[in-house]
Amino acid sequence: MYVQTLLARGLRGDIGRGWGLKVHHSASIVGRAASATRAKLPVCMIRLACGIVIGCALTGLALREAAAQVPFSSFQPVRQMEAAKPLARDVDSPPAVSQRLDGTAFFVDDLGHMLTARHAVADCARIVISKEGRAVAARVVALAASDIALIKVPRTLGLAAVFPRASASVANDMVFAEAYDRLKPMLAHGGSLGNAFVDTTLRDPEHLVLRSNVTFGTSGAPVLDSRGLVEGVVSRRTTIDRVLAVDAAHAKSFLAAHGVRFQEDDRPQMSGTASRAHRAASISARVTCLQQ
Amino acid sequence: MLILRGTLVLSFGLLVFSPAPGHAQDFRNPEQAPPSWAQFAKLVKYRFEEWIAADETVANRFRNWVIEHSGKENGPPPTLVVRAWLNPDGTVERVNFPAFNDAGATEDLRTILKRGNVGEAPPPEMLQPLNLRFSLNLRKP
Repeated sequence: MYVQTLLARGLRGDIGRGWGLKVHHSASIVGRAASATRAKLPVCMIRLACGIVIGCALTGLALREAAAQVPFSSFQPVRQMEAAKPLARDVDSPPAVSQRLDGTAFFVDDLGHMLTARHAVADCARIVISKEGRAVAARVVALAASDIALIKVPRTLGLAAVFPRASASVANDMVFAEAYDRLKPMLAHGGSLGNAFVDTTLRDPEHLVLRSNVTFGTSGAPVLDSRGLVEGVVSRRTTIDRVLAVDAAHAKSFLAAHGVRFQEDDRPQMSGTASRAHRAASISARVTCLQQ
Repeated sequence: MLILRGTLVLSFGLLVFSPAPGHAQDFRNPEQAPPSWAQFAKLVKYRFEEWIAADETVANRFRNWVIEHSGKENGPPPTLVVRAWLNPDGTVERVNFPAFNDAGATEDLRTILKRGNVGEAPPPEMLQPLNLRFSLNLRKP
């Protein structure tokens, strides 16, 4: 996880009205800034959700060590959007935001409930869901003991996910999981049937283990099987090509415990040749955690 | 300035799939239809809602017309059945619905419903057109 320690000042204007468009614009600029920083400066790998500094290394070392249990959300400094602001302190405004964390969330019913990774939305001053040029504020409904969280926005944007009644994933099943922000270029090239495989060599009672090279921003993304059903929720990477996802059984238990009426079905929710990337785009969105 | 928002209500009980013109209509109960068809129909419904609720010239004009003429003799009908044909790339090939008394409003709705991509390809085996029944419920936010 790459963390820039730049402190953004006077950012209150960023997160008010018109936030969605500004976020989009901000992301590209921040991306360039982040790249430049990684190329020139030491990079700190910090797990801010826990408040623990894991390590600090030069770029190459950081890349190698990043494979050790890293969540797929990237902290990014919020860009200062307004050149001039009144000097008076506005006590009614929300507190200034210094860092942002982008992950993925997906809808689980028609009432605006979404699942995501717990570490993607824990300890946020504000949570924003962005999809197709629209941005809405979200609130945390519940945090699970495992790395999943239930959040809510006013209404569902797109389709709600469907879970399998009984998981049927076996070794080497092809599945699809990707960060919301990486779906758009994928769709422009026709989509994808799958980009990861189920790995059963490592037994984990709570997680679905995937062979995958997904990276930052994928935390909280749905793992779609060949039927278009959600088999898990992406949590973190354990090695360079191993990813853990909280499995569907735990996700369903968590949703049921909080009264969410999710959809279950074992029948295919899409045709066999349809792009899972397109379905992922229909059910998911970017979740941004703004931290003080 | 008031911002008005349209809500379209899809009744799956009235979701009808029909074969080519000239044949007797094949009324497919949505509960018996493959889930992939129902999922795709839900996606089309969502997109149509979004496009009508969009804050742009044609959609604003259409919503204003509905507001001004609802309940009047020359206004929109209480329910509207839209037949939609979708291309394999997810774009709307054409839509068909009973014309309003106002030709401009008819054309506006046709423009709105054909303007975008629903985001997924229709299941290749799905019968078209989709017949979607809508009621227009405009309300102040």
